[in-house]
Amino acid sequence: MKYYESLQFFMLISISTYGISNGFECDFHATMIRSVEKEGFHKELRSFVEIVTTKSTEKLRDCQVAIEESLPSSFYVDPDQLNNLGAYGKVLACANETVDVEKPQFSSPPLKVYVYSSLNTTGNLLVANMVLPIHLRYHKPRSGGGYQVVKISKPRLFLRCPRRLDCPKQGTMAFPCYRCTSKKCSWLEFSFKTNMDPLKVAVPVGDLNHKLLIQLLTFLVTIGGSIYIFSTLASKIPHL
Amino acid sequence: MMTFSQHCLIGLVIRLVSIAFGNILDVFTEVKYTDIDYTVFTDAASHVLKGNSPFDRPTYRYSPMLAYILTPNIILNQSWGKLLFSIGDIIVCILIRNILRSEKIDENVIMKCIYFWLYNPISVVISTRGNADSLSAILVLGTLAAMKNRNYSMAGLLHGLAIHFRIYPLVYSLALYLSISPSIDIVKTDNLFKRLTKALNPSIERLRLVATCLVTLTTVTSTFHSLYGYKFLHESFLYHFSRQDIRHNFSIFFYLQYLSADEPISLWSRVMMLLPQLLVLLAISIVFGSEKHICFAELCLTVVMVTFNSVLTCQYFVWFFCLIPLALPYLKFTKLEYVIIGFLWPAAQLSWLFPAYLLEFRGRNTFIHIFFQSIAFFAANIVVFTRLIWGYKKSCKIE
Repeated sequence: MKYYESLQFFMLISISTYGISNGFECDFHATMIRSVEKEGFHKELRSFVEIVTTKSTEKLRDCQVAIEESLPSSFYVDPDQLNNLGAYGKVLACANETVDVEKPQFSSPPLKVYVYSSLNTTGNLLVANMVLPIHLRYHKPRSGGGYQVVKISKPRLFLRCPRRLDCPKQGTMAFPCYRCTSKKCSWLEFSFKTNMDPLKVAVPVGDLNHKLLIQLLTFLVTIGGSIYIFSTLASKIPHL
Repeated sequence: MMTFSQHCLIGLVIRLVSIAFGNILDVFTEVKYTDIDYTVFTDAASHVLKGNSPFDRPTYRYSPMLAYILTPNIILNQSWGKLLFSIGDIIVCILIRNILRSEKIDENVIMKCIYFWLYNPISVVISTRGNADSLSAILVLGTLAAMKNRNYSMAGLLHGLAIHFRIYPLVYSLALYLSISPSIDIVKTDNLFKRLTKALNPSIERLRLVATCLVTLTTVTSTFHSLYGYKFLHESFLYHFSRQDIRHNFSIFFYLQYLSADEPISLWSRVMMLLPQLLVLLAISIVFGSEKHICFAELCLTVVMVTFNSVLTCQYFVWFFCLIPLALPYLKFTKLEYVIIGFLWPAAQLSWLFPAYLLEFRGRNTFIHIFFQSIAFFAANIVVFTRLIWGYKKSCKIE
């Protein structure tokens, strides 16, 4: 019995090493240069993906690349905007859930967004330039106000080719084949190196120390305004 | 001298050109001329055509009727709705003419009032971008026209529809009720309580208005509720009451709401926010709630409601735009007042925009500056509004 088990184990090892040695199709290195463009609440999350292969790029030419962004509750994407940009082929991205664009950060869930792109070939280099318009939510006010730093962590990188790649070492995941389709495909996940992890963004937040002042002024002005209207109305009545 | 119908034709042509121009812009540029709401309406219409609920489209928060009348957007042409809203603008002009004619205003003066709506770039842009505001303007002005004709069942029906369509016409209800004369005359010797009960005394005409309004509202609401369930009630009614958008806007209450956002807003705060507004609305309804002043009453109610609203964006200004032409023949301003109104109001808005721009597009922390600007804008609104009341001279005969 013991002998049989160890035999099985050895067989498994040899099969998997065979797979690795045969998986030269996946022998490449990916890097991603990330940046957040634009100041203010409406930003662009840019990811420039570079894949260097040791062999020919021929087999990867028609592959699709996708990244899965895990946006914290600090951000949202506007599905209508993505839909609109998608129609022009400028940004191929989809949040596969409904997004409330009005809610503040502290009552919103985090969000997963898939961004798709084809690959451009130059020599043994494959590149994809992906842009995702993201928007900041309002954050909880705090004493002192100022700016709160929020982070966007590293995304996951996936590849899908018309012809099946022989990559047994790579993990796979199923998610929509194209932007917002219900049909799911199996995507190969690849590790990559990136310049910035995590990306940091500063959000202006309200100052709770002002709350009493704001409360006083708001009610003083609105009540004062109402009294002024009352007096105007009262003096108008005899002229009606 | 051009006739009324010739002007309407020109107004319609201007709108058709704008629609065509907007469609070209939409195709060739990234910046959309067409309003995002129009896309939402159209998507909802396609859901309706498939036999589904219009509320299957996220962010559709309007009456299902709107989705029904926009189904030709899918069948015929994408621009159907815009054409419909533009024709709506012309109907608004016809209603303005009817109302002012019933008040025996000179035809030349009426034409000038109509220009204010017909050739107003804002109303052209709103309809041709695909906002349904001209339809609610028709319902609001239609109610007033019916009131002027003393057709109270029609007025009640249209008022009920207006409330179903946009909710905000609800604040006109008391003024409309009071504008129908009570069956009992108020005598000078009556004490305050007696005056009050007499003023509220339900006459047959008043009951007709209330009954038709309630029947319309409940019929429409229950029909759509049975068709689309709770989602209809939530999206097209409850959402608008419970909406709490803490993002920066013109409202004086914006920063207070944002600073109180992490805790449930206290009852005391809520009362302080609502009570002054309710009292002012009540006072206006009582002062101007008469057959003679009903149009001006609605204008005042709308301005106050917008000024005191907890969320205030440019879109809300449209609500009182259609009521201005009805007050124009009676507004008498001095040159100084014209300067104050013509300068102060836009200036207060523009100076609000600066810190708001720095916050939204430059990421600077300018919340407190936006707050001070929203106070300035509120004050400007109050000043303009009180000038409006002083400038309104309907008792004097104006030729």
